[in-house]
Amino acid sequence: MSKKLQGNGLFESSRMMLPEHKEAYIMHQQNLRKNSRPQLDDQEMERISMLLAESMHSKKEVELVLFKEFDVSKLTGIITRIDQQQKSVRLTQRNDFVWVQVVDIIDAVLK
Amino acid sequence: MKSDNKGRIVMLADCQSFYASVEKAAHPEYEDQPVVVAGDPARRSGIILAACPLAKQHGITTAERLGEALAKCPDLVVIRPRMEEYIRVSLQITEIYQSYTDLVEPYSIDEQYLDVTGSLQLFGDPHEIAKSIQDKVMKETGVRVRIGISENKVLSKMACDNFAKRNSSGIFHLPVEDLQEVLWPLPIHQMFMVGSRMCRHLTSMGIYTIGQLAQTPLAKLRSKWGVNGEVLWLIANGKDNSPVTPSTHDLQKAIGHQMTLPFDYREFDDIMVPLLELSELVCQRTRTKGYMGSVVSVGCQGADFDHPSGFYRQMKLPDPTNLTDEVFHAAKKLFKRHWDGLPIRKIGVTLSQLVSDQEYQLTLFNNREVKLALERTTDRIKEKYGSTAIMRASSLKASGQARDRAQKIGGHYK
Repeated sequence: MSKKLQGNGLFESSRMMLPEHKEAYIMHQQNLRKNSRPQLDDQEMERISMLLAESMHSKKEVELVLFKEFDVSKLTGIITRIDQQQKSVRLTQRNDFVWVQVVDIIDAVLK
Repeated sequence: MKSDNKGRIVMLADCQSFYASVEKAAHPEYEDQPVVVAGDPARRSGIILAACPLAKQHGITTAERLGEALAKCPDLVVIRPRMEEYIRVSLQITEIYQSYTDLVEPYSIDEQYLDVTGSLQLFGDPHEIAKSIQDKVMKETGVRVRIGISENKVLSKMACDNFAKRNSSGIFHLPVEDLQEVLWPLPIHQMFMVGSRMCRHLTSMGIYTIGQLAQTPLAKLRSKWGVNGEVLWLIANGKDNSPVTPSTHDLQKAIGHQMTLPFDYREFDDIMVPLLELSELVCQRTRTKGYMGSVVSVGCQGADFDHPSGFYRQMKLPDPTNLTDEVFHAAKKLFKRHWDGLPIRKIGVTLSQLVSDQEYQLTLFNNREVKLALERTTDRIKEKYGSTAIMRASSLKASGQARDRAQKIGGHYK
């Protein structure tokens, strides 16, 4: 069967879209999926910083929920250093470690 | 095809005199004056792109020449198009529609489909929703939208074009039950997808109304025009299952550019200049999108509209590419082979069968890496300083169009 009779084929073959309009529309649709950065209140920030400190002192694993533009990512490990100057924490995962910006942490859960 | 559409509510919202309305909203001082948006009067594109309702009262129509319009109405306000602004407003309107439903599909710069089936619980009956959309768009952009309502896309389009655009409320609901009574008596040229040529064919068969077409045996139409005959029959009978698809524009199948030339091009060497410019544009866009293509097509249209000439041909390349050199080489070969020597007015280049540029075949004899590095560098210069910051020398010849084109979108000023 021809594509005109399937799905959205009739309209895909007959529409008049300027290439520039099409590109701007695709950008617009992508931005709809963009997350907005959550505003943490003081108590929540305090709670998270306590969890980070506890992970470091008692070498407990913590799961960090990180803000990303288009999704949310999770990292698990033990906090092994807190850098006040760089505003970041070092998360150790077995023999490896990553530095995580504190502003990106939107939640933390002790394992 | 099934016709299980019951219960869907689909709308087509069309912006009245879109470009002119945007300009009137931007220039409140012209509110009570006839306004048109017209292409550059010094060139062939000097035609009316949009006329506000006041200008239309003077008998001015879209697509007529600016000179004729001024003869009808000497104190006409003529505004140069600003395509970027119209695209911006069109997306602003998309966003308003998206506050009613996530199912919004732009069909052109001034027409968009909405499926509000899931929104009825939240915003009331279809008519109330349409009225609310109309008010909101007017308040936020100054543009009047007309809305056709039905249960599928073809019917909502015909409800809009034939009724909502002509009544005072600008809203028309065409339930499928009313099809025979309301739509079928209309002359055949008022049907969606029937252009002037198809209208001639149909009337020569004795089909004058949409109803007559709907009652013509499907087999007869199919044997005459194949799939297109079937499409017409389905539209006349109001059958359409096409979903309103917001993601419809995501998949890129081809990247192409075409342009109407400011005068007739007669010499092969002159034509090669815009052909190279188009190849470069196409490749530039292909590179930024991270694609390579393996089919090059070239099309051109003759200068004499009464005796249509021209061709549209394609060829497959041995390897996918996004290098200007290689695409231009193929385009030139195609043009040489198929051009009949008649003067041309329109020319286009398209690259299709796109694949990702992340992996490709290394060729032994030709250093593509170096060429690609050069092209990426010019791309970056153009991105930073504008597309005329660096050009090929041939674009400075009289036949070059690159500088002019850089100021335009869709052939009209940005």
